[in-house]
Amino acid sequence: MSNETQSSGRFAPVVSLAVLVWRSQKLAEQEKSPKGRQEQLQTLARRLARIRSFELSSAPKHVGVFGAPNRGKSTLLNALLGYDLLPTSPMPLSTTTIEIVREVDRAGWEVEVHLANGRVEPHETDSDRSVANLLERYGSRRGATTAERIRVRGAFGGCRILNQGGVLLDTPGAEVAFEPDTPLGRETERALRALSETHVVLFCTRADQIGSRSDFEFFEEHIRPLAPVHVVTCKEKWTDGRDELLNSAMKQYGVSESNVVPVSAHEAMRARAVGADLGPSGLLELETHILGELDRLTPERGLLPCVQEFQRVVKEDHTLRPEKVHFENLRTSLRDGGAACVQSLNEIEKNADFWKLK
Amino acid sequence: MFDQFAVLKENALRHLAAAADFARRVHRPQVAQQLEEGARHLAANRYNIALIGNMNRGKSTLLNTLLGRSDDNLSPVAAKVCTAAIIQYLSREAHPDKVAEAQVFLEGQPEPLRVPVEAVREYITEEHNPGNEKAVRSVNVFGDFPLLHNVVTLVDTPGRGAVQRHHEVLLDEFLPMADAIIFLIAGDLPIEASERSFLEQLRDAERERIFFVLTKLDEVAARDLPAVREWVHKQIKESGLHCDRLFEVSARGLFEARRTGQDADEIARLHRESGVAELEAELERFIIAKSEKNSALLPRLRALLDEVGNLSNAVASDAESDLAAFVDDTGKIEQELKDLEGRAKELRRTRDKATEKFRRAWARVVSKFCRDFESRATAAADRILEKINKGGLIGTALGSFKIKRLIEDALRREVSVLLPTLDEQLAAAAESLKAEIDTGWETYQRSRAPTGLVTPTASLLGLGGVATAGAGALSSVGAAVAAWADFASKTNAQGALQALWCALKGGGAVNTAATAAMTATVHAAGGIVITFAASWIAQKIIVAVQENRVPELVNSALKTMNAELEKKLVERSQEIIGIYHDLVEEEIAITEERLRDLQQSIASRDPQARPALEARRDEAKQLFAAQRDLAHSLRLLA
Repeated sequence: MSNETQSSGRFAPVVSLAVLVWRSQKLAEQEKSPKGRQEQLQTLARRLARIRSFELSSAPKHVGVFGAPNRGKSTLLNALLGYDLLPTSPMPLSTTTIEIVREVDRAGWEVEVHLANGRVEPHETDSDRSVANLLERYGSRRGATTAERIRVRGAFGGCRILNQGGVLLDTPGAEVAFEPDTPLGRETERALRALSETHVVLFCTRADQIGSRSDFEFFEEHIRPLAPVHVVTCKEKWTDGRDELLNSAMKQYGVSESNVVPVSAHEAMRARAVGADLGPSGLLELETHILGELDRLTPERGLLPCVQEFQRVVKEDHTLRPEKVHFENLRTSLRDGGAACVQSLNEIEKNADFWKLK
Repeated sequence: MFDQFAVLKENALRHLAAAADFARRVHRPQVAQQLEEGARHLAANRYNIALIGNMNRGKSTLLNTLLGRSDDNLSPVAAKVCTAAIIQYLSREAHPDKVAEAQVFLEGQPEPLRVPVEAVREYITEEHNPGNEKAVRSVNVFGDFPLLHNVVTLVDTPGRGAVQRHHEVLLDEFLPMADAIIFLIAGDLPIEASERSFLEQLRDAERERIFFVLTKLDEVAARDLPAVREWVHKQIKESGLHCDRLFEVSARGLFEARRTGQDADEIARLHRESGVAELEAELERFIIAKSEKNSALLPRLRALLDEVGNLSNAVASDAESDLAAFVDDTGKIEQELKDLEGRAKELRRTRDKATEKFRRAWARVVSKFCRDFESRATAAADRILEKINKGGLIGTALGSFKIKRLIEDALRREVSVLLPTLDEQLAAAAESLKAEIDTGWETYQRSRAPTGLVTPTASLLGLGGVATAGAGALSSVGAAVAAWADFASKTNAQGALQALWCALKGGGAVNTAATAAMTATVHAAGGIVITFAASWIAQKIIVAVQENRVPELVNSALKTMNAELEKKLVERSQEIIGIYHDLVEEEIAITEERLRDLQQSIASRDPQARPALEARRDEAKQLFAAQRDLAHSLRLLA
């Protein structure tokens, strides 16, 4: 759809900024900048790449749940969907990535099983039970065959995230310390593959496992670099107040308050069953967060925070400022990039320092 | 837990104290010392039960329940805090001053802080001591823990899956000292990858001692229960351990009932139904039957009781015959004393001849053992070197624990091949020494039979009993010391070796009896060989590899080590000879002194002499009966 030389600027604003960031990354490498600084730039670059892929692709935006086995990922998705579709158990169960896609007009469900040998088996069904059975057969340790990926299509009228064009991804439990040839190892690899195509990352942990080393190491190695992410805790395992839960999660994972959401999926399912208020379960709050995050991934909403972040970096460390020409490219592309971009440009212009040339 | 054992222990301690006092009064200071030493050992004995589990596996609740605490002041139960140090819970009786207090050991400080029990929280929770910023290494809590009975020490360990990595080192140091390990698994999060890998680490060392306890089953849906059990069994099996029995415990109800002061019946019911009673009973059964400490402690206690039996029996019958002799004239006693002198000379000659023969036999056996060990150790070292060269371990594992363990395992295997023969041959030498001295003793006392004045006295006869027990006693000391030395050797092999020798010399078992000393020597020898040789060779190999002079360095290291070993083993026979020497002298002196006392009291017509003899006889009989009862309870227990 969009093509990169369409506007009078040479590149679209997201690309222009990405080029700037990339230049700075190179400079940071040359200058041997502190590791924290390099990571900061890398995170920014990844974020821009995500916004760009969002901008380019017509595919729906992926919202994925990640974390160690038995952290309630599948249970949470069931709650978001309002169906008991994904298999759950107290033991590690999910073995593959399950993609849940909305198809407005579909009466029943379609389960598309992508097997390891490249074959795709489509199954059509009218009952949610048989969807659950298929997912158990191909996507859980209870089944004999493990699919590489499963796609479920259905109307899912009650799911706000799907309604807004999102796709939900359920992933197998993942740990850092896995041996490549074990079930957990293969499952971790699948989860990491799914992570690379996820736009909104939800890291799931259990409230009583905040402080658990394996959760923490996985978070540090694979999740934190994708910041901002949401840490979702299954709050029913927590005996104290909400504030303490938030505090301990923020402290453990080094995230801000707005990025921690305590949710009880079980409570939400119970409330749904009797038609009670979903509010106390925390599920609505999570949905709102996810929708907001999807929104921020659009260039219109997501660009400015990125520019501001970059502005901070080059202000703090002048040696990382790229060449004049690249700044000019960004300015031009912002000016020509439509109303939202012009607004961003105005914001940036307030800090005249930013355009000072090397 | 350990109700029966606690009662037995208390009675035995009282009995041994009385018997030691009695022995002193009848001029058997050696026996008295032996009894006191044994009593001290028994009193100090405690079984360590360690609790292991990742965070939030129900550890603190179970701990408090096993302690019999009705509050959670000590071990935090709330989910947000986790233990930051290793904590040992002991009955206050274990404290030198019998007070309730806690000792907090800080990193790098030899002297602990002494704080009130209630203040322990300040040091052991993440809340008050985040990231262990206070550098707490371990804590001993001496308190009122009714269920420990002064017999058990509970060791609480930090959650393994917690973020704080420094805990693991502590944990690895404490585990080898546990008699039993409780591994907690939460039903709602059964065996995660981190737990699985921990179990795999335990595989080699801890096969038998682990009790798997499944908690939090109330948080698992009923339909998932069978799958959870199956999963847990499978994970344990796949990690190389075995789990005959999975204890399902839900301690919270019991803990709450105690906390809210429910009535005794209700508590007893919950105790039963929560699975806690069953776990406690199994732990007790296992520890009494299998603890390495008991392979020494219980036989030793039996031997001490035998010794009391022999002593009291002998004293009673001596007193009996002395009473009978009261009517005889003192001239007969005079004559007997004269004869005794000559026979004592003969006994000494027999003893010296036998001990010399023993010395030579012992040296022969040891020398043969050392030769065999050297060739086996050399072969083992070669194999290890080959493995190292082939496997490219150099640079990665070299110098680390791995290589030392490799060597230790190899040497242990070699030693274990040779030890039975060494054991057998040394035992034969000691056995023939004992037989010859026994014969000498019989001659010494039989020729005096007509007077009926002298009966074999306790110590020599008792030796037989002690000797059989000795095997256990020494193997116990050997095992304990070896384990300890193993632990110490991780940091300092030379220091460990010295400590081991100190422990052997000072540790009670050696002087219990000659045979005990012998067995001890043999078993300790295995330990010495392994720790000593392993670290030595490990170092040499590292140096040798660096200097590219592997074979000659390793060989000379082995030779030096072997010479040292032989010297030390030979020295041990001197101890046995010394014990027999002293025993014979003491018996001769006591026999003569007794006759002289009797002669004098008859001659002086002392009116107290007869009642005193009667009282002594009665006391001896009482002691005899008491030790018989205790020995019976001990048999029932084991």
